[in-house]
Amino acid sequence: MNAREKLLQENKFDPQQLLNRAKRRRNFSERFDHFSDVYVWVLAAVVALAYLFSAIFGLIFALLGQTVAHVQTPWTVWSLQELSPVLLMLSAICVLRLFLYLGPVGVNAAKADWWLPLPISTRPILGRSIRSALLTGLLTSSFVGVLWLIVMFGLVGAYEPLVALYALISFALSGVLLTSLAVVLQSYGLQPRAQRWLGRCIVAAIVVLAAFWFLLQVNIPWAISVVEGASSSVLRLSAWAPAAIGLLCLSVLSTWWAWKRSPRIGARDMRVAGEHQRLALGSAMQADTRGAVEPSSASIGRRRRRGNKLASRLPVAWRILVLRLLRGGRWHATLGYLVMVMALVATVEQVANPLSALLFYLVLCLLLTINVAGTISPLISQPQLTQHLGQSAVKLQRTAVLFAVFYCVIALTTLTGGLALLGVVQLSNFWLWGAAVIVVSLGGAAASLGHAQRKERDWESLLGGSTSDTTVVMVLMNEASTLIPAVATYAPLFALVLSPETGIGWPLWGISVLFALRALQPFLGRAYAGLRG
Amino acid sequence: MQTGQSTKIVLEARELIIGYQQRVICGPLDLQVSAGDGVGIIGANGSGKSTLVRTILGHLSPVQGTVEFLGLPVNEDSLAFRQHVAVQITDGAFFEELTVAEHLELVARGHNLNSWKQSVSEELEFFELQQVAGLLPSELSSGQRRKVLLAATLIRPAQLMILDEPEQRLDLRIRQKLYDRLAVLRGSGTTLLVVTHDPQMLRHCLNHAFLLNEDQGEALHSEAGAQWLER
Repeated sequence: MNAREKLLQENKFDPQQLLNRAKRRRNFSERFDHFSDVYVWVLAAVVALAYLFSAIFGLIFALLGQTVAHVQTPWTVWSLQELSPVLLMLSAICVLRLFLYLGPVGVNAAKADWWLPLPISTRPILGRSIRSALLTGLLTSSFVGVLWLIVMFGLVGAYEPLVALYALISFALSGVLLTSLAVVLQSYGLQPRAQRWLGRCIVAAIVVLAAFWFLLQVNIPWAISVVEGASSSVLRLSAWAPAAIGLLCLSVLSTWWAWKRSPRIGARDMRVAGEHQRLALGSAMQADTRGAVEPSSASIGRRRRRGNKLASRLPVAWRILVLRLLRGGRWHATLGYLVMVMALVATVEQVANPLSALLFYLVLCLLLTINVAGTISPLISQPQLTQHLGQSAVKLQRTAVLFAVFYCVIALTTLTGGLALLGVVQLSNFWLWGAAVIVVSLGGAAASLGHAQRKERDWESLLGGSTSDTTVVMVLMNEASTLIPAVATYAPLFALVLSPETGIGWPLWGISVLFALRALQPFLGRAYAGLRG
Repeated sequence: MQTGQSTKIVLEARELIIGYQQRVICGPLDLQVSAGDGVGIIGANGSGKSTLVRTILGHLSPVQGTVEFLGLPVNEDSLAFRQHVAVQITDGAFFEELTVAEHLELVARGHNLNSWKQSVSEELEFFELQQVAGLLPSELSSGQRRKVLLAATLIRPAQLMILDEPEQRLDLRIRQKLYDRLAVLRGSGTTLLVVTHDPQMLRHCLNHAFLLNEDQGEALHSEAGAQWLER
């Protein structure tokens, strides 16, 4: 601080008192409105949690192939439970990455515009922001912990309350620890570097996993004892009690460090963090990933040269799609998912079964819808492109549909081929499989078109509006009306996976074709409208 | 470029290249603004006017070059910067639960104005907002919200005032009142840096223009700037 700065004195005024005054001023009706808003959200969260827990048990049920026979591949070396320590580490990395993305110390747009430029002490603003970040960290990590414990107790088939209590305390404390570490990193301006390092940690974990897979494959005794020891200790009280005590000490220390470092967090960082928090909250409330996982301009910039040769020979609309796919790295999610599925099926006990294959197709259906919609959205939702490119909207839609079908065919063929190679599905009815993949890809294209037509919404008004809960429910209903038909078009594939010998019934073909027809709308024009009556 | 005659340099940008991360929008630019100067930043849409303002305010990092306020690098976290630089950006966010008067009270008390009640009432009167003083931002028109933002900028003392298209959405009478007031402020030593598309503003209350054109900055007299806007 220079001499002139020392002469200036910060005003002790705390702008929060004006907001508190406004809250006290609310009449009964306004208070009741506020209460009912909170009540509806809490109720929705409880219902969503109940569904989530059921979905997790369903997932475990399918992965373990309960009631159906599984294939034993020569590369199978471990069980799902033995992978749980890795899952623990990955969840901690994901929580830390999330908080580095969220700031975690940030202020909303109003506070950024009205409070940050005031010559007042930033301590109260920072204090509130840090408290809120720590609470969010604690709750997020506890939520992850609950999910993890459900998976573990589901796998083991037994429940131990004391272990659950200590584990939950440890998860809550690790949330505080990770959030305060993120605050410290934010104060040093190290978030991008830390995020890169965490990305490398994930790669390192995968490499270690691959190394252990090799060691177990060749029956190295010490590797076997390490894996068994780690997997058996994850539900032992003797592991969680010291962990809770250690995490308590670490979280106290890190919170103190974060508090000491927090005055170094600048207004610009808080403003950017606030914007990220708004995007993340809006995305979570609307089940819309576009706000949070769009490729960054920096990563697109790095891939600026990619696809130049390939795209230069294509028509302009195709060029846009190919470049969005390559430079935006939009194929990463699909490829990553396919690799993960193959690795799980090949190396984990019991996963190579038809039920889990069905689950993998189901997840691929949702992934492809979101993934392809992100790529084709400019051709579908930006009317001004028709003028820029000199092409009609229908022609652009046709290109988008062809691209979507092509992309879905590749992804589905890869998954089906991989599962067939591992013996999980039989391709005895080869032509039926081919026809099913084509129809399902049309269904995927139809769902992607629907998803891409979702308009950007003003999250600020959605969150603040008096009818926000109703609006969000409407948004989610719309989304369901896109995704449920997409899943329905997969019916022929599900039938082939579960019962390869009996073929596909005509009703299933009927349902699938009915929902896939929408993809043909740009090609059939009026004929399609006539078909719909 | 030296835009002012007086010796005290309030704001100085040297070899400034502006943009987002490494994507260059405009530059290199050189700009010196002296105390009591009124500089209008002009240029076509997309020429980088608002980006320049955001860089000067420290909201964006320069791709290259430096910006100094009173001889020190611009730092919006510095107390001196927050005390002496008043900013009105294009569309500010509002607190949904605070009334118009409370928004102004927030700024006045934040700047430790002893007679903040009187200042709030004067600003409400100047911008003809008395009737809506008790209303929430969601109940205002876009023009009224613009007036609140301007009132919040003018209610506080400042050595440098930065305004981004203040004339937008104001009716002609209020616009004229605003120009008169800015001219008086400049006469009393406040430095003005204004992004504008209005030639009348350049003629009435500013004495220089800084034209952003073809990725370069060019210093002009305010009259020449006004003529460029009218061409």
